[in-house]
Amino acid sequence: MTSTRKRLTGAAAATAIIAASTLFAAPAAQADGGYYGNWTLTAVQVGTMKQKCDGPPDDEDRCPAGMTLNLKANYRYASTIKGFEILLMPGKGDFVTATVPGTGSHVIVFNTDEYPTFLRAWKITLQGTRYGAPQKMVLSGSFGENPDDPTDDAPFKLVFRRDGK
Amino acid sequence: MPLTLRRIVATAGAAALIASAGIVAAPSAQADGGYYGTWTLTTVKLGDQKQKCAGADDGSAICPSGKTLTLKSDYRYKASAFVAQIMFLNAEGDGKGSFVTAVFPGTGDQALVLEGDATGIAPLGSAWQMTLKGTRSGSPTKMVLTLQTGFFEISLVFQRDAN
Repeated sequence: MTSTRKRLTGAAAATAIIAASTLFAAPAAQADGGYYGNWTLTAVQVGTMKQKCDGPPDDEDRCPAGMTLNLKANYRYASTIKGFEILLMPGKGDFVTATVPGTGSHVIVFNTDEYPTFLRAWKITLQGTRYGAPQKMVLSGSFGENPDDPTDDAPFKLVFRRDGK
Repeated sequence: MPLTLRRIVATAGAAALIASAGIVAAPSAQADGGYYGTWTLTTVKLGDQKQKCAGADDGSAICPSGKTLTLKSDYRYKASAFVAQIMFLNAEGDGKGSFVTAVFPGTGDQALVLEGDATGIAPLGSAWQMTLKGTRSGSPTKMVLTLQTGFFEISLVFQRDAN
């Protein structure tokens, strides 16, 4: 587990409150809602380190298989993703997508039902098509700079594939 | 935790400051761009604790006065280093970048999303719930940005710069 993830998950575990959009797709995908659907987390990437999500359930040292993010057409989401509670809280909430003028970055913002101001923003990239629908989704973000540990500055990515079911 | 935020949290009472409060932005403010302009940070709230930003700007004050966030009509933002540090929750806050606003379809809550030139989108720190209040010649005069960090809820209260 990277120091970033340890730091975040460790901090999350230390606080009892973690108990429990604007999503930016490519313009075409955004327009036709290509991000809608059930997505299965397949990998987590921190910098050059990549961990596949194929571990058994509740294994703290590995990324468990079968964790999903469901983005519904009514702008509601449901997530079963655990281990990154500070960045994406499991449970239900609202989301919205938007495109940042100037950079063209596509962004998704999640807002959990449990805490009304628990907003989390991710850059979203959709890739691959099958019958016109993207098959891969990558949510990425930065932690900014950590002057205490420059190796901790790596971008963070959550890689999903569209659920075949 | 960055130094600036650590100092504010420590002052306010740290762990006891976990609270959540919904802030609903006026959809009309989004439509007419009422958030454009230079905003001066007047208060930092942690839960029910308030810290006025009226201190000297010599590094001694917990929250110095005169720190600003400018939201330009070309969707570029510029933030004082102090404001950027708090908003991005790190010690190297990105003082310049692009921004966009969005309204959650289900709740009507409005979000301000900052994309720093250097750091890009930060899952924790780029998106804040935005509320605009008050009017003066039709423009909101108060802006409140709120974020539940997972450890505490922080609100940044801004007043529109008179200049």
